[in-house]
Amino acid sequence: MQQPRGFIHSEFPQHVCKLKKAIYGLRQTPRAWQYSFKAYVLSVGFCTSLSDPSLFIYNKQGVHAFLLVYVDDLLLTGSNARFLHQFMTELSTKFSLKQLGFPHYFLGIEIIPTKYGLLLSQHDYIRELLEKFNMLGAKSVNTPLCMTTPVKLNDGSAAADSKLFRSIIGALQYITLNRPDLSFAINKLSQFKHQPIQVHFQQLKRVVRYLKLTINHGLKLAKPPYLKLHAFTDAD
Amino acid sequence: MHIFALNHCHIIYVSRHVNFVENSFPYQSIIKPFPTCPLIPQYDSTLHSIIHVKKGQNTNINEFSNSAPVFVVPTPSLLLQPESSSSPLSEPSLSPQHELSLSLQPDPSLSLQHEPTSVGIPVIKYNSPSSTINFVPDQVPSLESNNPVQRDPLVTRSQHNIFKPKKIFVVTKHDLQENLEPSTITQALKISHWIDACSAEFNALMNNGTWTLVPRLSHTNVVGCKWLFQIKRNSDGSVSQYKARLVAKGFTQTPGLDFKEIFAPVVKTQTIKVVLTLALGQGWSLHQMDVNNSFL
Repeated sequence: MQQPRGFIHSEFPQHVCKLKKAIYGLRQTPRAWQYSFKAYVLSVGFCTSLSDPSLFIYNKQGVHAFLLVYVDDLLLTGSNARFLHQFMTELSTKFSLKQLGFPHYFLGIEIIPTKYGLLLSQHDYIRELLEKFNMLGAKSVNTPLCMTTPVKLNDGSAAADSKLFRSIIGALQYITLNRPDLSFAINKLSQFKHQPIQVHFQQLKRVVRYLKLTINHGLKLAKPPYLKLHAFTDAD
Repeated sequence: MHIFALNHCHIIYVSRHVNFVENSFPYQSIIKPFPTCPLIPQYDSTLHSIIHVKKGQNTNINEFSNSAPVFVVPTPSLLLQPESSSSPLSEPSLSPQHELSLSLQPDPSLSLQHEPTSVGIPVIKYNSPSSTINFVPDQVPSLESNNPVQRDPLVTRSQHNIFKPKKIFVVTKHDLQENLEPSTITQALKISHWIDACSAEFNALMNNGTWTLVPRLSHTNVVGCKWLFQIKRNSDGSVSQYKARLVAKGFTQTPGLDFKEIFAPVVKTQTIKVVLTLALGQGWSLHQMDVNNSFL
């Protein structure tokens, strides 16, 4: 890397910086971080989950611990509070950590503890979305999609702004994380992303208007009475 | 193709089949240079040229259509403009040439041959040896004498005195205000708190052992770097921190050469829900942590 302007070495102005560690802006940075963090976590005794590489599981001497890593956001839970604290202090000596305690806001999802469990809500995100697409003053509707007329690929109406269409679809797709009720509508409208027309745009706005009514809805994670795996199969 | 030919008998010949020999100019030596001819009639000043043809032999139409000389009369399109015809110069004069020229229908294909800048040199193309040519150079007025507003129907903003100052040189000489973020390191290094911020970032990188200085090798791609400046504010708008950050220009890296794989995994949403449910079901405590500087 070039020497930073303003801090060029007086003796060796023609020298370049050989990077020993990743710096912001490099393409490898997220991967390098992931690798160095993973190496450390594995050395402590965690092992990677088979289904998700960013989930680390600790299972030794009756102590269970789970560590979720999303680039630089960590979520830790486990059976033994003492082990967790010990691990957290070890981590903060190795990496510069900020301990936030109980997660209130993880990946844009607000985690609200209730009497029955947890409520995952994205109302802040939805409000930002409504503001971004100038739909704050829109009239709300009760259903996400119009049921009487099926959406067709082309019914002769004028083409819509496909870039804006895809932008809204993308923003809505993140909401489906906690809003399974929107999954069908967004899936249906995503099928016209390549060539949206005004009818599709109207339907998309209807979804956003529905969101406005149901802005405070969220996914409720209830406390399960027992933890058992249930499997469902379907013969093909 | 319509070709209009004039001779001294005031006859117009129209021929549909014409061969243009454009690369040879066989009568260059015969054609005299065109002096300012005393025979210039008083005709429309907007007319650029009229070609007189003196033919040695009697020619008829058949000869013309086969091998007769072909004359391209540059017919000015200005003839069509109402203001030129209403100008006092274009009042009917007694000269026969003028009548002839007015009777010509301007052909767009012919007007292609005409260049306004080549004043006095009409374009002539011919292929027959049986004629001598005498030119009457046109009395084209210079562009300055003509009113360009009359000629050009386009209305520009400057005609209505609408001017917009050019924006390219609008640069302030004054020092940057305190509540603005500098965009370059040169700007930043004039202000003390930004110097402090830069030094703090530089020292942090040095303490971290981020790089070592090495002589530049010729075969290596040197990635550029850039300072970014940001003002961190409290919720009431007051400045809490002046932050400088050195970033590498990752877009100058070449895939396959400077880096091979850049994929970094992200969490599946199902995993988050499973972990949360598990913690809830077992009554475990949840902890969130945030890594301060992830460039490790």
